[in-house]
Amino acid sequence: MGRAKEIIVKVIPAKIANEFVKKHHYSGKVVPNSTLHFGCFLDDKLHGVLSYGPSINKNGTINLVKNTGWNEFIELNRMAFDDYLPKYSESRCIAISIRLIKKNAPHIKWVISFSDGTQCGDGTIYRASGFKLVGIASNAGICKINGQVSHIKKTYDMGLTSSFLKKSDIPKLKERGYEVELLTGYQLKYVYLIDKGCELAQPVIPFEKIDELGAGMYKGKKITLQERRATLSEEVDSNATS
Amino acid sequence: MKKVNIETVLPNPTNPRIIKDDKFKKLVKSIQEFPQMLELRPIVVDANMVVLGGNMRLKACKAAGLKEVPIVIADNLTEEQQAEFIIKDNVGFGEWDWDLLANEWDAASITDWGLDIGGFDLKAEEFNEEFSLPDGDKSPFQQMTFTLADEQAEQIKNAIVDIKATDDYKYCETFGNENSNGNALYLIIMQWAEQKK
Repeated sequence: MGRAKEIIVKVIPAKIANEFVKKHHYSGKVVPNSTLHFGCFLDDKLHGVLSYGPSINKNGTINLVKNTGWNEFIELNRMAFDDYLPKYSESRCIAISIRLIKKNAPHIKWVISFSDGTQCGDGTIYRASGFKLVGIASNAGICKINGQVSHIKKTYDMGLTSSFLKKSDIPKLKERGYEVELLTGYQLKYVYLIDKGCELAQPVIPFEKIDELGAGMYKGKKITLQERRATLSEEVDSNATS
Repeated sequence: MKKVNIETVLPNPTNPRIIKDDKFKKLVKSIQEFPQMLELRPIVVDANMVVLGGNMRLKACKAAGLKEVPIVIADNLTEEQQAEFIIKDNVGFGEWDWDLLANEWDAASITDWGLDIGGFDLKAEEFNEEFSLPDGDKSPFQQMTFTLADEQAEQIKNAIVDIKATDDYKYCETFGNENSNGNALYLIIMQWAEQKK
């Protein structure tokens, strides 16, 4: 693991976390409903941030795991690291943050996170961290509005649509002078069960399905898991399946 | 390579590189602490003693108080080659292996030597590990936010005031809600729904 084991993870204020995320997250944006921020420190500097918060669509998410109470799950909704952190740092930081959640908020039974297979990756880090793949869907959540990448909630927030953006809204928005498109690619949904007694309400999707659907992406480039195994260190994925 | 009086070496007026305060200070410090490096990597000048490679170092040497600097005279280059040299001398073709740097090198030293390892200057000791998250069931109440034109907002405020003055409001079903505006708005909507029937 090298020096990744020397990383210290602490709770940091939103102001610092957001500044870091804006600088280092591929989207350059923060999630407004992030309420818990962890800073990842090495060599007396902050080199990474993990932000957690309630899911935007709590009603739609809660049923992923059977018998979940309203406040018994949380979403890992932003993860940003700079170049300096050594290999395996991300999964190490996730593991520590989950340990801290378990200690400080023992009522949290599971964590949900999404990977953006339209611009970033298919969730290599989540797989390496023991998350289970529970959903692969054609992107319906990320759009571009006049060139700016946004969540589909944005059109609702802007008062352009009566609910979150749907494909059928796009022509009408175009007539009003807004260039809107849904990004092509996939969004992958991962769940980490903190409480091992919890039961998923749906079957776990085998990681091979990512290749079957053509949903593979790594660092913004379309690439299958199989191709990655041939070209990159496979330690990450083999850890995930073990 | 030879050592010459620093005043005889001329900065290149077309040098396209700049160095900012903090990095310049680090370069000066680096020269003061490790002057032998200058001999291993002398300043490159043309036949007229104008710098082709090492403008920043020349400036830093002056700031460090050096009277002499080691130079190499490149007097066999064409004008095009000189221009090419100025750019190529400053292009970093390689990339840092950050994983190796983090694992095998001392962060404080490499930062001191001028390599920016990124990160925010914050120490882990300044923060703690404690926090709390909401628990329990979903609240039976919710807040809704709307955007209204000033005229619309005024109408709604007036309607809320009006309905609060009625007997219907006194006996309105509140479902336990103690927010009077919420209850008034609910009553207005229910009356509208009744009229629609």
